[in-house]
Amino acid sequence: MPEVKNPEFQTIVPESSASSVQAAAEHNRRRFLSGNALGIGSIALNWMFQRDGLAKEAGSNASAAHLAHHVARAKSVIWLFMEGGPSHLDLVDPKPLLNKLAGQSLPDGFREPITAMGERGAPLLAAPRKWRQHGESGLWASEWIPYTAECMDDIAVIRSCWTNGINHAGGVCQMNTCINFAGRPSLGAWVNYGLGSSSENLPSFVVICDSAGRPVNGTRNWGSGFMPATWQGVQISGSGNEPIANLNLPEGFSAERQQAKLSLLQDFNLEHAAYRPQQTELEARIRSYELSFRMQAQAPLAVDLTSETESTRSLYGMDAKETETFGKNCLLARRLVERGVRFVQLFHGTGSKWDSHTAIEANHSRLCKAMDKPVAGLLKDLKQRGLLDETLVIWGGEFGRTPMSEKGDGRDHNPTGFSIWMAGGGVKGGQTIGATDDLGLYAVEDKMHVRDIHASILGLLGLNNMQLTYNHHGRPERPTINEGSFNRKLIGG
Amino acid sequence: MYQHSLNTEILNADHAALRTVQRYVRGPMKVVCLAAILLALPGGITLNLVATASADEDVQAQQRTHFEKHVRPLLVTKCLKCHGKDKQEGGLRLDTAAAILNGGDSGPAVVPGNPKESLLIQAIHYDGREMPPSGKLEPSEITRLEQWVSTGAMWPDDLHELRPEPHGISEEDRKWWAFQPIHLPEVPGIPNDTWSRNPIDRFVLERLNAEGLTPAPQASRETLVRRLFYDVIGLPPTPEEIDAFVHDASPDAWEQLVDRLLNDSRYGEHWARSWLDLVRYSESDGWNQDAYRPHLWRYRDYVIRSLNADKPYPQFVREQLAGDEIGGDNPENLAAVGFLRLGIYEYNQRDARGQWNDIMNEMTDVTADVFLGMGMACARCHNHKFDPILQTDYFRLRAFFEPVIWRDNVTAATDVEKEAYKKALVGWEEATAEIRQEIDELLKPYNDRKWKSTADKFPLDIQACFYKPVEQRNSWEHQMAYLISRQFLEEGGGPLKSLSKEDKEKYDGLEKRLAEFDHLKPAPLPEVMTVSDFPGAVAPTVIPDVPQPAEIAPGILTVLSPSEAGASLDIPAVPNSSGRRLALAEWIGSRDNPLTTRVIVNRIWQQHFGQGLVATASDFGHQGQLPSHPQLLDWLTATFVENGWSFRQLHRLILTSATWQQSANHPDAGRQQSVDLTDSLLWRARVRRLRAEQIRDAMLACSGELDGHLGGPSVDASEPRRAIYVKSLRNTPEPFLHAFDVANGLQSSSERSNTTTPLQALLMVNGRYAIDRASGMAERMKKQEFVTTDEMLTALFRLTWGRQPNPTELSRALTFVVSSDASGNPAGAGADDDPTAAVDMEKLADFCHVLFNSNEFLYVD
Repeated sequence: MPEVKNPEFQTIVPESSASSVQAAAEHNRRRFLSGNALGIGSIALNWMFQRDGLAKEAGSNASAAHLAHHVARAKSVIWLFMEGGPSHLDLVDPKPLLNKLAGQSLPDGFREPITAMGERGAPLLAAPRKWRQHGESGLWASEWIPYTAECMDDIAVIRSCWTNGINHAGGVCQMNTCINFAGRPSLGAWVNYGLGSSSENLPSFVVICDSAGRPVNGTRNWGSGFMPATWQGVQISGSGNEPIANLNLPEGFSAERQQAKLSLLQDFNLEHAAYRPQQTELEARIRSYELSFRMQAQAPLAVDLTSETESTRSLYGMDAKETETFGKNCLLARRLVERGVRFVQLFHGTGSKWDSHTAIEANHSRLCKAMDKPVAGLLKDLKQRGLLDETLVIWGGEFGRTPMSEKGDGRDHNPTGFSIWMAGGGVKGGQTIGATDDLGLYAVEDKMHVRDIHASILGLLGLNNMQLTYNHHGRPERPTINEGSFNRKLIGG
Repeated sequence: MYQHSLNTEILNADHAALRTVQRYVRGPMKVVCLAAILLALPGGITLNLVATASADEDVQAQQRTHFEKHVRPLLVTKCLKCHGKDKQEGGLRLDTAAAILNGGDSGPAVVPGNPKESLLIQAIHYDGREMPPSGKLEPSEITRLEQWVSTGAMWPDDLHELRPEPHGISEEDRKWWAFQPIHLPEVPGIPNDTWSRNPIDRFVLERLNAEGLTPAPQASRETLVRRLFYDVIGLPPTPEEIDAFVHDASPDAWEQLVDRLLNDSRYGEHWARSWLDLVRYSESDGWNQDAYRPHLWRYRDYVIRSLNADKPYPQFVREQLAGDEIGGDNPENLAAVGFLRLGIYEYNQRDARGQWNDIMNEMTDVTADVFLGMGMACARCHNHKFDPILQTDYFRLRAFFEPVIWRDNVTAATDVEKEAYKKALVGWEEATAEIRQEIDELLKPYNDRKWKSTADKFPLDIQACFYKPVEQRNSWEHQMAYLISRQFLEEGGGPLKSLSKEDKEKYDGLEKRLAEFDHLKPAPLPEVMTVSDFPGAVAPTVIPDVPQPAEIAPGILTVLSPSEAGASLDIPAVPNSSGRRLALAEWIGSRDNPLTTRVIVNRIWQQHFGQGLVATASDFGHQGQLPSHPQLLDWLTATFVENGWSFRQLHRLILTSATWQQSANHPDAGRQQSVDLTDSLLWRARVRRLRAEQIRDAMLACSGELDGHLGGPSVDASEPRRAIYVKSLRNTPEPFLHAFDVANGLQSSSERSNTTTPLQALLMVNGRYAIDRASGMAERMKKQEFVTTDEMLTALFRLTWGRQPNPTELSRALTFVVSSDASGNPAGAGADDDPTAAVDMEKLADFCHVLFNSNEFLYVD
């Protein structure tokens, strides 16, 4: 368990708040722990979650996994994924030349890239933003992100990102799995495999979307690829009354009825296992039921925001309609990392909403408004609770947007140069890393490919991207596909 | 690990140099340095850097890149000829880390961190020695080697020995076990052997004896029949089927049952699944839209039918790689070669060149994984680091697929059927000619505009392919044009989406008129997704990003041919096709191919036992595991070929062995486990969890809901059909199957994961699917006639667990289901005419639900 920072969960189930369901679950849990005919109580919890990835799979390098390769700066990650590709040119990478040349075509000397929508020779589109430098560091931020701007001293803006995926399917796939072709494990799965769970009662890789829609490529964004499903992300719902699928008792079933069933099941299973000594998997499955009871007790508490103060809610923008949804998800993210969840990914604009091929002014001003205050609230809240040092917050999409216009008032995808930012988790704030050219089309200085971004995230978590391997089809597979390096400028190196 | 005393000057004078050393001296070692692990400090203090090292992984990664890009090629091309495995001029070898450090007659070749002291560096400066003698290296090359030495002479720890290139296949490489010809080994004779039933057992027993282990006793008949049913047809036996076997006194009762099940069409339904996992079968595109592929199920049915027909394996291979080349219009073959259409694809991609490159690579990778059991993807970018596979080998394999073009909605019917259809269509064609012409005219301007606007969005060189007349294109140009045409058809919902309001109304009206003649139309012929070869010129296969690349002809792995020149294959003449894939299929399926047959036999064994004789079923290379019983594998393989490559014979051989029939319980398990923890030596049966499909299918079978008809289009998960018929979408996997580790269809999968998670527990306890099946099973009891409640409960136990309950289990069950009235007396307990009336149906359903959750249901002994 991580260090407990909040007295609320020092006991596993606070008796006072336990509903009858939780009480029943707890009762069963105790029965499991005490009714210990097989000595299964001694089986370590982590083993339960991890054994398939380590013991069963011929592939894993068990000795390297679960051992950080060096001192970790971050213990957990909150990845704010702006799906669809926000415009770096309008948020954190000001380009005066762009406004000067607006309406003209791309000047000589700029190679025209293959664009997703293929509009050739489109005129440059001005970014009519008011820009200001912020904080002691004087980092630039546009008027579209006034709240985030207040946190610039904690933020490192990476202006020189690039990726291979030119469309959403490829781009989102690559930003999540390091390659623009389906089949590899997501970064969260690698982290989960490399560091293991640090939460006893919750999944250690959690995904929350900001609408009922599904992100491009669906669940494989948080899949485990060729590794066992043990390491994949679990989608939880921030709204509704069932945060995890099948968490609640089925409709019409009382806690007593459930308990009677589980009690009989326990009798059958213990006897079955007793006749089959040395078959540890059977004990593991018995234990998985126990864990599910814990999850039933703990997951609702993790997503129950009633104990949060008005000022906290307002910090996240939960008191205003346009920021309420994402504010709630950001607050949930904080509560999850507090409880030891290792990797939280929040999709904002789920289903490519940031994609602004036309009317970028209307699209981005609306989405920035919905995102900005919650994101800043999260940074400020983590900081005031002393959690920012150990929580890496990443903001960004699958690519940026072109300086050239599309359909007159929109921008196409730009995979060749775009920005993301990171804060906390040991990242030195108040700096920009790398640069794009004068129009923001290509990354030119200190370029960071997605592989470098992933290597850096792993590095901040204490994992070496070249040392973390998983054997699959004759290859020691690495999270960053044998390339990529940790950009130490992130930690002031 | 190499121990080397580092010069203390470095420690004291140059802190930066120390840091350089430290980069390689760290925790779980993946990269070692030629320098020290332990630094000896003055005064004899040993500083263990493992614990205190700073972390400069970025530098380390750069060092590795530097080594791979600049150092390795120089050593290989300039040094190894005289200082390698074959020849050691001056006693010096430069192909391993140890050899370089130890040096030759004159001393160590390299002093890490100190280029000036390093003989290698002196020699390349022609300072004293002159190396290489053929001519001094370029100044940039010298600088790179100096840089390598001065930064610590990094050597990757996964690199044991440098291989000479480009003719990089050594005699040693050819000696790898999996490349050896297959011969029929002699079956061991074992004195006083009362256990063995067939040769398999004698190989197994010989090994057990050698390790001081004994086999487990034979499992009970009840256990065996349940295991057999799940293993062969994927479903549980009914109580009647259990009884029939348990009470069958004939001496060949087992053999008869095995044969009966192997001839049951449900065998194909169950075993097809493993093949579908291997070929990354899924029914959707796998990109953003993840569109459903409505005809793909014909490939799935092809696999089921092929297994049920016990097709010889080479034929099965040939049909999937070259069905179009051997079968002409045979619909079955067109569906079979759909193997080459199973990868992910979506129209929406302006980078057509990159997209087709990915597609070709994917076809190549999956072919090597599935048929050869050798991961070749490494060799796409460089010679394989672990296995003797050259980059040219990769592209030789890829060249077989160079002329492939994709074909959609191809009519899968015989010529006779097509002729009949055409004839039947005449009436409709005549009646509708005018309407159809009107439609064509209405749409023409729209189509013309859309063709142009679609093509315009692609890079100019890709557009050029599109505008070239077909007869002037080569295969690659045609593929580019194909990708543009898919964009035309699918982008924005297709061309019809852009009709003006007025024209849309007109169009709808015409369509309505057209529909009035539908009664004249014959039933449509089935369609498939398939491939052909482009009939025109085949584009050259080249290694990308190589200046002035040479064309690479289709050919086999160099290590499997007598020489590199011998790696080319004779390509048969095939009308309207290149014949390349047929040549590949013939080579893969030939008796002489040492990989193919071992690989498939091992896969069959793997499914029967839960682990292959080679545990890494898709990796027979150096990163894989060695066979636990190499002689047995070869005996089975040779026997399989002798038996006409018949899967059924192979299954029969395995299932009738004493090895397969062992109990999961061994009286001396504790001790035996201390010798062989993972049962690799086959001294007992594994207790195995049912696969996702088996859990679902078994619940449906127990509840009596299972609709057992064979084949046909895939269905929604709510339909009570076997899981193999449930629609599979890559981006939205079916939740129940997904929770229990169903393959994701993204890459070839040779082994299912077997996870145990709380999410599975939640799904089984709270999820609707299991609850509904449990209610179904309870309802089913109403329809049957039981004399007592005990009898009914016993039936439920037998349906799910495949055995009679013991008295304790029965009494627990009875207590659970029998409701109490206010006085505390169980209602209707004891003898009665209708036990279902006596028990609370809700409780009976709950009891069934408990059975579905129980380990005895979910696991097979």
